Amino acid sequence: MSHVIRCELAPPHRRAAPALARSFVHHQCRLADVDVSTIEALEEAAAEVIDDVMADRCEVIEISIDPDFFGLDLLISTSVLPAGAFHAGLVARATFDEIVVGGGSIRLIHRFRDRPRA
Amino acid sequence: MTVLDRPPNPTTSLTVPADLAHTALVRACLRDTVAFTTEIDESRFLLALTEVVVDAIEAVEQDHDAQIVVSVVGSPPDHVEVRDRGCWCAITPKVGHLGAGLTIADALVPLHVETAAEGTTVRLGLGVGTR
Repeated sequence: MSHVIRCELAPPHRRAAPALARSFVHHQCRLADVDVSTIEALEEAAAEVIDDVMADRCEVIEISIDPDFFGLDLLISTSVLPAGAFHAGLVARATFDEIVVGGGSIRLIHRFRDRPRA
Repeated sequence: MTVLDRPPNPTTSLTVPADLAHTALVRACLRDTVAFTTEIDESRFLLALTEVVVDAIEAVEQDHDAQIVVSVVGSPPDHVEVRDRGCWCAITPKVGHLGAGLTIADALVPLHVETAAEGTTVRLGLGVGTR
């Protein structure tokens, strides 16, 4: 089954959005035993996306934890982002496998290459 | 997935599955959201929060779909709420290391427990030690 970890940000706390996105990415990667350099790259890229959106507009940050998907699935929502008007920066585009924009949200997907050794 | 009601105040809420693996993320998100005055204030609060969150998770973890909601309330943050849908057990420390979580938390931060048929809400006071 799939689980979601969801953070709904009140306006006064939205400046914490980049740090929260980093924490979400870090948590998901650590659960999957991902190497440190990959974790750092993904954290940086997620923070870049938040900076591009503007942190004070981020309303919801979510990660889906699905045992059938060995990777990162991070959703950033903001009601003031017009669908299709967002273009991720170079770092994000070079890091994530997929960036899906639409309906007021940005979804960052990255498949982990190496499963942890048994 | 069951969505719990959100508290009425302006609030940042973190909803996590009731799994002890997520306690580290709860601590990290709290650190991201609340600015503590000193490292000692932060350590005391995070220890208390961890005890309360672990208690909440253990109260509902038999339910595979159970969730815990951790909310930072107020701006500047006034208190943190930990809510679950488990039934309340009075604070009765057992011999050994089990059952002392809320007692430890109560010794570290102002603690208020609200029990109801639909679950338990524990409020941990911030205020002093934050900016």
